[in-house]
Amino acid sequence: MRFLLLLFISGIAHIGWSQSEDFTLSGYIRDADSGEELVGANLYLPSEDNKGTVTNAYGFYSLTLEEGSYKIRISYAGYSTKELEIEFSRDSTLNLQLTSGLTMEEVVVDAEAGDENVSSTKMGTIQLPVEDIKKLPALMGEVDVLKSLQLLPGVLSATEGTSGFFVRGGAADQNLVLLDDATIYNPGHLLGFFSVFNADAIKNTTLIKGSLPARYGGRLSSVVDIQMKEGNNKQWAAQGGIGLVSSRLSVEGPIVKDKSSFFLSGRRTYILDLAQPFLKGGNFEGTNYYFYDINAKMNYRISDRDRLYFSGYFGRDIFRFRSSSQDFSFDLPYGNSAATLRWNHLFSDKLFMNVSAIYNNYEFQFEGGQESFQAALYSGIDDYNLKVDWDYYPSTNHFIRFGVSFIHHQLQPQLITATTGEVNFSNDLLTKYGNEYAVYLQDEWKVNARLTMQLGLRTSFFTQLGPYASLASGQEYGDSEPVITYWTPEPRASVRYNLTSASSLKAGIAYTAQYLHLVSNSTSTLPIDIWVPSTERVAPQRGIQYALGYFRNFLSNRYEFSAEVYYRDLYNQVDYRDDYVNNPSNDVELDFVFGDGRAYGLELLLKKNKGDLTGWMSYTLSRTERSFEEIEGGRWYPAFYDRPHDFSFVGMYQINPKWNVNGTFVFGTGNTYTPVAGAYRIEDRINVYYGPRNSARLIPYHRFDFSITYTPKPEVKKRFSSTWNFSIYNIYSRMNPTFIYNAFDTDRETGIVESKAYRVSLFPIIPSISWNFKWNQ
Amino acid sequence: MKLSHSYLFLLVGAFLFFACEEEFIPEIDPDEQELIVEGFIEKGEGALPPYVLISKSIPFFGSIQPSDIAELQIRDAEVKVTFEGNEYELPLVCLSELPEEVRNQIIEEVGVLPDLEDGDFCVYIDILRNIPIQSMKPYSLFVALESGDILEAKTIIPNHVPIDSFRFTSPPGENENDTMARLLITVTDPPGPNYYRYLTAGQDEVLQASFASVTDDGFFDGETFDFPLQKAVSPQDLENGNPENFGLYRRGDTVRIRWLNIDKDHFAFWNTFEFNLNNQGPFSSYTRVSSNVSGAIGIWGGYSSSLYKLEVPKE
Repeated sequence: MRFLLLLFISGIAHIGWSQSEDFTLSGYIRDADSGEELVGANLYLPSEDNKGTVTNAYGFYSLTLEEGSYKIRISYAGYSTKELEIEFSRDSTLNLQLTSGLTMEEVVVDAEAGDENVSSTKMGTIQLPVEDIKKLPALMGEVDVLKSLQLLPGVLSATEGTSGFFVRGGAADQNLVLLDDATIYNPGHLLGFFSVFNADAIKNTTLIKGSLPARYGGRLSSVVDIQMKEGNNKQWAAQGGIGLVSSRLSVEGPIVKDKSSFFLSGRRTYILDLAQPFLKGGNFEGTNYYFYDINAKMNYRISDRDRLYFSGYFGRDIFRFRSSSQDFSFDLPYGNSAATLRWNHLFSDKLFMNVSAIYNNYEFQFEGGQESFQAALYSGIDDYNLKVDWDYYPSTNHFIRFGVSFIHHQLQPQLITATTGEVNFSNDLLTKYGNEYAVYLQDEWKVNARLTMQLGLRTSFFTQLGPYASLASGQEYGDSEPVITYWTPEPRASVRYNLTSASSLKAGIAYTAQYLHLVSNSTSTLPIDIWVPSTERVAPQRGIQYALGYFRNFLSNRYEFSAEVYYRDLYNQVDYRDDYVNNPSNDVELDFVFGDGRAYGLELLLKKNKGDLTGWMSYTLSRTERSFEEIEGGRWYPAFYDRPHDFSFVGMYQINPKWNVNGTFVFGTGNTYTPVAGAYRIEDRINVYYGPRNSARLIPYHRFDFSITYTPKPEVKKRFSSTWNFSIYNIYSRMNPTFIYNAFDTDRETGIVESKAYRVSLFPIIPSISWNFKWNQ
Repeated sequence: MKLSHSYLFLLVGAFLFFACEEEFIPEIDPDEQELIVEGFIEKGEGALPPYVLISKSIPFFGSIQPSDIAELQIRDAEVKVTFEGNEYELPLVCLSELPEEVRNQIIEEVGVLPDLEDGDFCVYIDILRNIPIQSMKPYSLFVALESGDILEAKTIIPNHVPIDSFRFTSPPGENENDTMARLLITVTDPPGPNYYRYLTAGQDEVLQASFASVTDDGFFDGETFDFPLQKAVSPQDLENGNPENFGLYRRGDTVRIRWLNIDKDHFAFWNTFEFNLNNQGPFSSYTRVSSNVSGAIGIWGGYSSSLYKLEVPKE
C-alpha cells in the first residue's frame, strides 16, 4: 500500500515538472451524419510512441503536447479514419466529425489503427461501440449486447433459464450493470433468455473484468457500462423490426437542429398475446406472458461549455395466470426503471466535469389468490444517486480522474400482506436503508514510451440507517439513525509495458468492496431473489484480484491475440443455510451464512477484425470455489457455475454485399449440482437425502446458432432500407439439461415404488424470422 | 400458508409445459447408507404409546419393494427414553405379535401397508405404557446399535392449542359441485411461539398429512385467525377423484382431523422435510432436512393432540 502511495505522489510531482511549453487541443468527436458523440474514439500520433488520447463517455478529448507540428490520426471502429496535420502553437478547440463506413483507400490506413487492445492499459476491458454491435450475431433477429458479452473469455453465461452472468468466478450479483449511470439490478427478461437492452438504443458498451479503475466501485467482479444513443440532431430517423418473437421501433431527431435532440425506442414480445383469442371462453382465459422495454433520451447543448442530458428506461415482464374453474388468479409483474439527469461542464480545455442525478428502481410483485383469500407480495430496491466526476488532462503524460458519489438505498425484501375473509395479515418486514458514499482519485501516467501505469485509490463507506431493530441486542434505531458504518480503502493499480509496437504485457491488482448482496436460494437467479444491504449482521463482501496478461496483434492488426491469467480471493460471501426454508415472517438475514471464495483461471482470445470473415474464438480454463463454516464444516466446494472449460466461437462472413451469415458455437462443462445419495421413508412418504454439495456435474453444454441477413439493395443509398434476418437457435437441437429432478411412482396394489431421475432441458431448436428497417429524413 | 412456493410452483408449471425431459441414471455410491429414526411421544386422547422406528436408508434408484423396506429395519438396537432422571427401555415388538386394534392404529399412523408374508414389521414401543406422559418436560432418546453407533435426541410435548370452531362452506370459485364442501377452522393462538401440524382423513380413509402440514404462528401470533383446512390427497382421491375437488370434503361423510402442537425442532423437521419434497425442480436448491437426532436422519418428536370427528353437512 505504501509503495503505491509513493508511486502516486511521484506521479503527481512529475506533472508539475513537465508543464513547460505545452499547448492543448480539445473538442468533441462526433458522427458526421447524426451528430452522436463517439465514445472511446482514438487520437494518436503515428510518429510518436505512447502519445495520444481517447474521447471520454461524452465524446470529449483533450490532448496536450509540446509546441510543434504533429500528424494526428483519429480513428474509431467502423468509421473512416481521419488524418490531420495540427500545429500546436496555442491552446485551441477542434471539433471533428467522422463518417461511418470505410472507403477502399482508407483500408490501408485503417490497418495500422486498431491496436488499442495492445496499447491501452485497461486490461480485461472490452469495448463494443455501435458499429461493432451491429456486426454481432443476431438471435431471433435482434442483436443482444449482454448475450454477446457472454461469448467472450472470462464471462460465463448461466444455463438457460437464468438471467445472471458470471465473471471470473464471481457470483451474478458481483457485476455492476449501468445504463447511462443508472444501475440495472436485473438485466434479463424471460429469465435471462433476452436482456433488457434494446441494441437499437445503445451507442457504446464497455465491459471491464480485470483491474477495475478507481472510478468504479460497489461490485467485486465486473462493470458493464452502457451508454444510450443521444439521438440524431441533424435529421429525423427511425429504425425497427418486426419479428416472430418480438418487435421494436426507435424514433430519433433534432429538437433544435445541431443543438438538441431526442431518442425514443420501444420493444415488446407478443407470442402469448397471439394465443389470447384461442384461450377465450376456456378455463385459462386471460393467462398471458409478455415483456416490454422503453428507452427515452433527450439532450440540450446550452452553450459550448454546458450540456444537459436526460435518460429514462422502463421495462417490465408481465406474467398473468387465470384459472376460472378454481377462481384462482395471479399477476406477476417485475422489472427495472431508471431516470438520469446529467450536466456536463467544461471548466477549461483540460478540465471536464459531469454531474449526474439518478434514480433507479427494481421491483417484483405478486398479487393473487382464490376467492376470499388474497395475498400480495412486494420486493424491491430504490436508489437515489448523486455523483460528480471530473476528467483532468493536465499534460501529455497524465490523465487524472477524480470524483465523489452518494447513493441512498432503500431495500424492501418480501413484504407480504394477505387477507382471508375479514382478517388481514402482514409480515410487517421493514424496509432497510443505507447510504453508500465513495471518493476516488486515479491517474493514468505514461511514464515513458513503453510504460504506462494506472494508479488509483477509491475509498468507500456504507452506513446502515434505521428504522431497524437489532437482531442481536434488540436495540431499536429510529428513522435515519445510523446503525453501523463500514468503510473500505480500495487501492487499484495496473501497468502496461510495450514489448514491441504490436505486443504488450499487462499486470494489475485491485481491491474492491461490495455493500449490496443478492442472495439466491436456487441454482438460477430468479426475479424474486432478494437484494439485501450490509447491516449489523451482514458485513460487506470484499475481494482482491491479481491479473497478468500478454497481448499481441498479428499481420497489421488483422488478428488480435490475448492470454490473461487471474487469481481472486473473495471475502464475506453470503449464502443461505443449507436447511433453509423460505419463511416470509422472518427477517431473511437470520438464514444467512458467511464464508469465503477463491477463483483462478486462464483466458485465451483470438480475434479476426478485418476481411470478409471476422469473428473470434475464446477459451477459458477456470475454477471457482466456496467455503462456509456452517455448510459441511467449511469444505471447499465448487460454486454451481464453476465451469472448468468454456469455449466460444463466433464467425461473421460477408458473402457478398447482399448476404451475410453468422454462426456461434458454444461449449461448456456442465454445471455442478448436489446429487441425491439415497432415500428414506417417514410416515407414508418417501423423501431423499443428498450427497456433498455440488459434487456432481451435468453433462456438457453445447449448441450452435446460425443466422442469415439478407439486404435486398445494399448499394442504393435511399432514405429507406430494409433487411431480412432468418435465424435458428440451437440448430442441432441439443437438449442441454437445465436441471435435474427426482420422481417417485407408487403402485398402490403391490406397494412397489419406482424412483427415477429426469434431466429437463428448456430450449430446443427455435427458428425465427424478422424484417428490419431504417429510415432517415 | 406456503405462499412462496405455491407461486413458484405455478411458474415452474408454466415453464415445464415447454420443456423436454429425459430419464437418466445417476451414479450413487452404494456403500454409503444413513440411519433413519422415526419416533414420537404423544399426549392426547387415544394416543399411541411412545414408539421409535429405526431403519437404514434406501438406495435410491430403481424399484423399491415392500419387502426391501422390511429388510432395512434395524431390530438389534437398544432403545431407551429418559424422563425426569428415570430410564425406560423400549422393547422391540413386531406387528404379528400385537393385538389387532393396536396393530391397525400403528399401521395407520406409520402409514405402512405391509404384506406380512414378505417380512414382519417391528417397532420399539413402550407397549406397557410405563413412561409418564406430561407436557413441557424433556424426553431424551438414546439408541445404541450393534455396530457401535450411538444416536441421541431430545424433545418436549408442548401445551395444546385446540381448534375453537369448525364450519363447512361451499367450495370456492365456479365449482358448483354441491356434493363437496370446504372446511374452515378458527383458532386462538396464544402469544409466543407456537407450532402446529394437522392430518386429515375422509370417510374410510387413513389419516394423512397434506403436502404442507405444519405452520408456525409468525403471521398471527396472539390473534384469533381462521383459515381453510385442506384435506390431504388420499390414494382413493388419486384413483377416482376429480382434481378440481382435491382439498375438499364429501358431504355426508364422517371425517377426522388430527390437530397437533409440536416444538420448534419438531417443526423444523417437518418444515424442511416437506419443503424439500415439494421443491424438486429448477428453481430450487436442495434442502438438508433438519433432523433432531444426532447421528441419523429423522425425528424424535413430541405431540400434544386432539382428534376431531366431524360430520360434513348435506347442505
